[in-house]
Amino acid sequence: MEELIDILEEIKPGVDWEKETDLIGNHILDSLKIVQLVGALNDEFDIEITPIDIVPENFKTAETIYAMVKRLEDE
Amino acid sequence: MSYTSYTYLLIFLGAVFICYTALPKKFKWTVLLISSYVFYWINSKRLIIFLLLSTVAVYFAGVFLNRINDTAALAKKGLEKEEKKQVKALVNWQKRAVVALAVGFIFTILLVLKYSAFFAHSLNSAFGFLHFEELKFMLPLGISYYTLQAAGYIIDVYRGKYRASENFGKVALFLSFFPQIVEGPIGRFDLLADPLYEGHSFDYDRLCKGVQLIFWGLFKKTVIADRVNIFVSEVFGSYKYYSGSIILLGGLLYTLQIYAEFSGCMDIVTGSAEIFGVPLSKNFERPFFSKSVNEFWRRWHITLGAWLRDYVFYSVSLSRPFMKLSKFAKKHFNEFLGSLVPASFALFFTWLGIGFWHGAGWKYIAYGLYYYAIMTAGMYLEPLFAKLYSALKIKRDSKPLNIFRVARTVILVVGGMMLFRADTVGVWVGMLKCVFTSFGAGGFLKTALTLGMDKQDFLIVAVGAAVMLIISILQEKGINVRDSLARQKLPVRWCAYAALVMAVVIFGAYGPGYDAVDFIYGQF
Amino acid sequence: MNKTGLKQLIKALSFMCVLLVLIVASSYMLAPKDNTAEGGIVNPNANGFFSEPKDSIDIAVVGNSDAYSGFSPLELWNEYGYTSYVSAEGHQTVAQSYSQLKKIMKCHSVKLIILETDGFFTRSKLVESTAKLINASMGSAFSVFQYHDRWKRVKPNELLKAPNYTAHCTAKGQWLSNEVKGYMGGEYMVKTDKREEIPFSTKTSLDMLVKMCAENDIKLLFLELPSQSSWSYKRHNAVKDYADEKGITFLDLNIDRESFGFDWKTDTRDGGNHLNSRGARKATLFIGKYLSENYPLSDHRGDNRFKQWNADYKEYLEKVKI
Repeated sequence: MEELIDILEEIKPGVDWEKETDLIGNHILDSLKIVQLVGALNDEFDIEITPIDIVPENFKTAETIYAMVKRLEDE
Repeated sequence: MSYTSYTYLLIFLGAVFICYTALPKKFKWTVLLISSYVFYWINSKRLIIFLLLSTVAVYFAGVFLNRINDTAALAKKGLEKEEKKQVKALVNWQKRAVVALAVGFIFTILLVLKYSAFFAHSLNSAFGFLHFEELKFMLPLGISYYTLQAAGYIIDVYRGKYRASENFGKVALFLSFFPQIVEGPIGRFDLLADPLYEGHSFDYDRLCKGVQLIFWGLFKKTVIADRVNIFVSEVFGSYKYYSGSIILLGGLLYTLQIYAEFSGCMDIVTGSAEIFGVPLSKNFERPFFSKSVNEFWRRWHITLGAWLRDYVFYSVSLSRPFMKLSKFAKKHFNEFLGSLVPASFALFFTWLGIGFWHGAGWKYIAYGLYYYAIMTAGMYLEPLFAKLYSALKIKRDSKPLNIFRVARTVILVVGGMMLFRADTVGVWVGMLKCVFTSFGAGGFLKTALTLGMDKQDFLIVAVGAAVMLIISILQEKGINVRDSLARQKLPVRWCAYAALVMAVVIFGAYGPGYDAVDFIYGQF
Repeated sequence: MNKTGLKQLIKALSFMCVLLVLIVASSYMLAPKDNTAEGGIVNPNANGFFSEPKDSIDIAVVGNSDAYSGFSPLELWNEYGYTSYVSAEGHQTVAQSYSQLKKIMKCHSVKLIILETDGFFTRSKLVESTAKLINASMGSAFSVFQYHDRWKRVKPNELLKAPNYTAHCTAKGQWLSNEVKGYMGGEYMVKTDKREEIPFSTKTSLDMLVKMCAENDIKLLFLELPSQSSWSYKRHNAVKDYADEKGITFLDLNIDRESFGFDWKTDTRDGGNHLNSRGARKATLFIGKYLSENYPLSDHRGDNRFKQWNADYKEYLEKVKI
C-alpha cells in the first residue's frame, strides 16, 4: 500500500490519497493520469493492467486500486 | 422520417408504444426490433443491408470468441502454471484474429462508404498522375454511430468484460434501436441490451416523463435551433459580405443552434426510449459551464468521447510499444515532459479520430486538431500558468478566475464550432480574420435584421436560450429540475407542461415559411 | 382497471382537455381574421369563397395549378348563369382538396364538386404523403398548426375579434394569363391499354372525398383539363377505371380536343403545361355545355342578388386580352 501511495504522490502531488473517496468522480484522476499510473503500476508490481481493468470501480479510491493490483498479482 | 415530424411522434411512436404495451412480456422486445428495422427501412431502404452485415459480423465474431474461451477453459483444467500461460498465449492470438477480422470488416464498410471519395480525391490531387474514381455512395442511416457501437461490443467481449450474446435478436436490437440509430447516444451492450430485451409493463409515470422530455427536446430544436437556421446559413454561406460583428453573431448563433439541436435531439430520443423503460446514456452535461476545453469534451457528446477514450486512447496508450515509448521518454526527458510526450502522442490519435469521424474532409481533421492543439498547449503551458497565478497571487479556485476560465472556454469552443460549420478551413480563417480586423460594429443592428430573422425571431431565440440557461444553472447547482417540478402542486405542474407544449406549437419554427431542418449530427 | 389506473386515466384525459382548450383558443386567436393577403391567409385566391355571399356558390372546383389556370367561373357565369369558385392551389393533393372542400361546404351549399384529376398522380412516398396528410388535417382542424407564425404580426385587439372576410376575388379563383407560349410537339394522347397506378395515398383520400360527396348528396365530377406535359393515356385509363368503379363521370378534355376548338399553339401560357385565359375560356364553355345537358343547376343571371357577378364579368373582360 505504501508503495502505491508513493506512486500516486509522484503522479499528482498534494492529494490526500488515503482520504479521497471518489478519485474519478472528483476528477482527480483523468484519463491521462490513469495511463501514467497504469504504466507505473505495471513496472512496480510486474503486472499487466489491460483496458478492461480500467473502470471507475477499480480507480475509485486508493483502496480499490490496491485491491486491483493484488488481484492481478495473483493471476 | 425525422424525430420531429408528426409521422414519427404521433404515428410511429404511438403505434410502437401501443403494440409494446399490448403484447405479453416475452414478445415485447420483438416489437422494438421490428419497429427499429421498419424505421431503418423507411429512412434508408435497401441500405439496410449494411446494418445487417455489420450485425451478422459482430454476432458471429462474438459467438466465436465464446467458443474459443470455452475450449480454452476446458483445456486449462489441470495444467501447470507454465502450460496455462502457453494456452493463454495461443488463445489470445486466436481471439485477436477474430476481433481484428470483425472490426476490420465493419470499419471497412464505413471507410469505403463514407471516405472513399475523400481518399480518392486527396490522392488524385496529391499525385497528378493518379486517377482514382471518386465514388460517392449513399450513406446508410447512422452508420458512424452503429459501427462504433458494434466495434465497442466486440472489443469488450474480446477484453473479457462480458460474454458475447448468443441471441442474434438481442444483438440486432442493440445495434438498431430506433431512438438512437440516427445520432446516438453511442450505447454500451452491458448497459443497453438487458433493458431493451427484458420487456417492461405499462408505467404511467414513465410514459409521462418520456413525453415531457420529448417536448423539452422539441422546444430546443424547433423554437431555438430551427429559428436561427436561416441566419446562420446566410452568414456562413456568404461571409464575405458581412462585417466581423455579424460573423461573430453568426458564430454564436451557430453554437447555440448546434447545442440546442443536438442536445434537443438527445432529449427527444431519450424520452422516446424512456417510454419503453430503456435508459439511454447521457450525451450532454451542460458543456458550456466547463472551465477548460478538456472539461468541455467530457461534457459534450459524452458517449463519443468515452468511446474514443476506452477503445482508442486506452488501446493505444496501454499497448506494449507505447509503454516502451513512455519508458523511453521518462528516461530521456525530465519528469514533466516524460509523462507529457507519450500522452500527447496518444491524444493525437484520439483527436484525429474525432475529427475524421465527423466527416470525410480536411476541414474535419482540422477540427479535431484544433482541439488537440488547444489541449496539448494547455498541458505544456500548465507550469507556466501555475507560476503566473502564484506570482499574481490568484487563488486557483477563486470565483473571478473560474468565470474567466468559463468565458475563455466558450470563446475557444465558438471558434471550433465556426470551423465545424465553415465550408473549408480557408473560409474559417477568412471569417476569423474578418472578426479581428474589420469588426465594423456600425450598422450591426440594421444588417442583423435583414438576414432572415426579424426582431420577434431574436426575441424568441433570446427567451428560449434564457429558459435553457436558467434550467442549466439550476441543474449545475445540483437541483433535479424534473423531479422538483414533479413535486409541485398539480396546477403549477400543469401550467408548466401546458406552457411547454404551447410554446412548441406556437413558437416552433415549422410549417409554412420554414423548411424542415435536418439534424446536423444525423449526417455522420 | 384498478383505482390508481383509473385516477391516472382521468388525470391524463383532463390534461388533454386543458391542452385541447388551449389549442382551440389559440387557433381562434391566431387564425387570419380576413381572407385577404394582408389578413395573412395562405393562397388568398383559393380562399376568396369565404367572402362570397352565403350559399351563393353552387359549383366548387378543386385541384392543382391546372385547375386554376384552365377553369373560368366568369365565362361559365356569362354563358350559363352557374356560380362556381376555383379553390385550387399549386401542387394541391387530393387530401388538401378534401380539407379545402370542407371549408367551402361550411359557407356554401355546394351542388356539384369538380375535382381536377391531375393532382391524383402527385407522387410522393408513403411516408411523405402520410406526413402531408397529417399536416393538412392538423392544419385544417386547428388553424394554430398552420397559422402559428402569425403571433409575430397579430395586433392585440385582433386576437379576440371574430373573423370578417372582406376579400373580393373578381376572377373567382382563376389565374388570368394573357401569355401565349404554344406547344409545338406531337400528340401525347396515344391510345394504350396500359395504366399508371393511382398512388395509394391518393386513393385513400379519394375514397374519403367520394364518401363525403355521397353523404352530403353532392354530385362529383372528375375533370382533366388539357395538359400536354403532365397527362397521358395511361393516366386517363387509371382515372377512368376508378371513376367507373365508383359510378363517377370523368370528363377528359385531352381527348377529342378538336370538338371544342382547342389549339395547343395558342391556348397555353407555358408550352403545354398550363392553359392561358383563351384556353380556359374554350375549356370552360365546353364544360358548361356538358353541365347544362347533364346536371340540374340553376341559372342565376336574372336574380338581383347575383348582380355583382355581372360587374365582375365586366372587369374580367377588361383584364383578358386574348
